[in-house]
Amino acid sequence: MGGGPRSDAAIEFQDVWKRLGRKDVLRGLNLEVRRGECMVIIGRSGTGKSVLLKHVVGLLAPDRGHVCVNGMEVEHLPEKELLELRRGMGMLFQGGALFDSMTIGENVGLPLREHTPMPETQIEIVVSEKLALVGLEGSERMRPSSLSGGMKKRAALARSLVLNPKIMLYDEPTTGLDPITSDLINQLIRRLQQRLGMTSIAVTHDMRSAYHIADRIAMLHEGRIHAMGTPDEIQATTDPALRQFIEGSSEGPLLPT
Amino acid sequence: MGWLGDVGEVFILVGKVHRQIPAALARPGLIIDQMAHIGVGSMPLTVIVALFTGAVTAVQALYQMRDYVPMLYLGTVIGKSVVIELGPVLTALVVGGRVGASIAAELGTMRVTEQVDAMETMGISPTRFLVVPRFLAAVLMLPALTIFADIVAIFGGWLVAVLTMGVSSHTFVSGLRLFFQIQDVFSGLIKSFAFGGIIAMMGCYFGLKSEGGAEGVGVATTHAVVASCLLILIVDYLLASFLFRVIFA
Repeated sequence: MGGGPRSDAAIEFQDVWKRLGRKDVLRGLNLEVRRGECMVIIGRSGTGKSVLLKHVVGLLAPDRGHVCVNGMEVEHLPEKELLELRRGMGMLFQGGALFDSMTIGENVGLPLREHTPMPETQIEIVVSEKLALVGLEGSERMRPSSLSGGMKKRAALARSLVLNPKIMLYDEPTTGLDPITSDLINQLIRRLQQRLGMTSIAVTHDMRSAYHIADRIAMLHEGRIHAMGTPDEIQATTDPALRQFIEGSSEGPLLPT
Repeated sequence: MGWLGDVGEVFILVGKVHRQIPAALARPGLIIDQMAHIGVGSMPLTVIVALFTGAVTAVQALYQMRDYVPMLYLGTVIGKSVVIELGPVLTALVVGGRVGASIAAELGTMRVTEQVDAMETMGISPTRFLVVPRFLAAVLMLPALTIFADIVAIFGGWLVAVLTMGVSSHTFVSGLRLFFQIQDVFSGLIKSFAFGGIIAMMGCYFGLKSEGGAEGVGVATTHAVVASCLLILIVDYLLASFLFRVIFA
């Protein structure tokens, strides 16, 4: 398994199993994300959407099966190559995960300070550029604790973009944001996608956001991909579980937990 | 037998710390910040604890010695007990409470809010960025704090002896110098190196291992402090046996 790099699959899950505690979270998951596309993973809370993302960056390793990024098996990479791979990826965490011992500017500049020989003056320019991109110009000196949830997420997005990653992973990019900020984030994701040709996976249960940013949508259910298609195909589905999920109904095959 | 797993994982973390020390030295700013927090920040507490330790040693020694032992030996008893045992151990215990708890709480909060995951995702090793600076700072600052504690505790004993017991300053100092051996001081400092390492490793290990939100961070903090206090006393015994029965015997 594994093999050499394939032309169109940037990220590939091959029969991935993962048990956390006493629960089998992923049960033979297969998924292929093409280069340059935005794949949105939908599914209910607790179905393992974040677990799926963490496999891509190697924060979790599968119990069985393989996760390949650019044709390389993430779980077997030596530490040095794993670090190299991670530098080419950005991840937006649910709560932002900004370092609260640092200012916003220091947060956004940290990957540059750690991984590039860039001089301090140039780092400041790149940082303010990335902050402007997410609509947070001039917030360099603020502390994460003084920002609202939406601002934190935008600052975190700026931080994850600072090394110009080829692959972006979004963990619930719009959860907990007001509709206007949500739309801003959606547009930003879409723009990055189109302009820079990034490959991205976004995990969400916000269907509005999913339709907006996705090239393809996959539903994670019972540890596997239950259904997959373009936003139009998903909206036209006749699958009862998927229908129930996208319509947000409590009646149907999916029981409230 | 969960604790056996903990022991193994602590040793794995120690190995990782060892490998990352050279890389961490390239960014001394992080280490200096931690030295200020762990060392300078613990000074007031250390000084107060040491002052009263010396004072109470003087009171107890006088009570035990009255009428039987010449007052010349008061300084000897205070000096020896402070330098060999009380200075290093009590300093380690109070600093362990203060610093161990704060390390565990900070790293624990970073863990449960995914800041540690974010760091790894950026290709920055949490061991190098978070653990090594705290480890080096604690290992360097504990002996420094212990030297201060030794001096302040002996001063506290002198103060009580001279002001309240009618012992002359000359008698006290003569006693202090009478059986003074430099290896007593060294043994105390060697121990405090080890105690510094214990405090930092317990704080970091339990902090990074915490899970499940605020409650998990609370549990991690408690474990870090309890484990470092226990280990300090156990390692104190082992090192004392080794130093005084093998090396200095």
